Amino acid sequence: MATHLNFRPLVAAGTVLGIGMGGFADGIFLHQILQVHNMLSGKRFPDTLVNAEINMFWDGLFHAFTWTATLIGLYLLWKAVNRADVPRSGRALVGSMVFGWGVFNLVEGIIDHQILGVHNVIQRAPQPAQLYWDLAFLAFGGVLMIVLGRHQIRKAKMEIGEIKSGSRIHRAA
Amino acid sequence: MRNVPRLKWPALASLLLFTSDVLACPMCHTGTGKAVRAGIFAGGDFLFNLFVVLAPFPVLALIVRWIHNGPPAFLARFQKAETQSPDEVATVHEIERVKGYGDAS
Repeated sequence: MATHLNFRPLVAAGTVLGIGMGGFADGIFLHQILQVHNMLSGKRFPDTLVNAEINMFWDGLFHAFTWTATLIGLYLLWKAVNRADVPRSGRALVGSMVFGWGVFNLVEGIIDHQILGVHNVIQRAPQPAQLYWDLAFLAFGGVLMIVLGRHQIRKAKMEIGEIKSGSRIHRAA
Repeated sequence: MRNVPRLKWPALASLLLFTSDVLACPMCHTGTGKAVRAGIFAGGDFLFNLFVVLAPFPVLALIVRWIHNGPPAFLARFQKAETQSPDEVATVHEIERVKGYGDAS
């Protein structure tokens, strides 16, 4: 039996899966179903067929990379669960996926929305409201999800640490 | 306005007959398709747009690498220095015990 438990491979795999799933959620719900923004809607507003098609192309390329991230995440998860020193904790995996989703939202929100300005969360909104939506996205979609995910990972580490040290068994007895 | 229903079918027929081809995929050989292709590939925009779309991914990769392998070398050295401090504290406690300052219990 492994004496030292290593959470890093599981958390990394879950984070990459969360990045992929976060990218898909953004692309599917915000780009396609609600159509509140597209990849280049800040530069080419999709108010003509040509602009809508151009945005569709770049949305597709973005989806190709989120698909690749999901595939890499699955590969990392497969490698992680085949290691003896990595605990198979569902809570840690779900927590790291939530963490990864939040990281994706935060990084994408800062780079694409704030620095490069290629699109905003609600592209059709007037200027002050656009900024409020962007900030709300960073706060709730980014920071809050990172905090929630990290909390779950820590909780999983504590639970497994308790089981390993036997304190739960002592309490039960 | 009462004539509108009667005009409906001729209007629809003329739309089907006289409007331009609206096939607009980037690979379509139509006017709109060419405009879409030009909007994607022509000019110097393609590389910049590619950079814009991919820009978050290297940053995300760095974050994941950090999670998987630990912090980069320069930060690891800093952290190592931090983790050495408890040993130093332990040594200070030993010194205090030897000198009779600490460990009152």
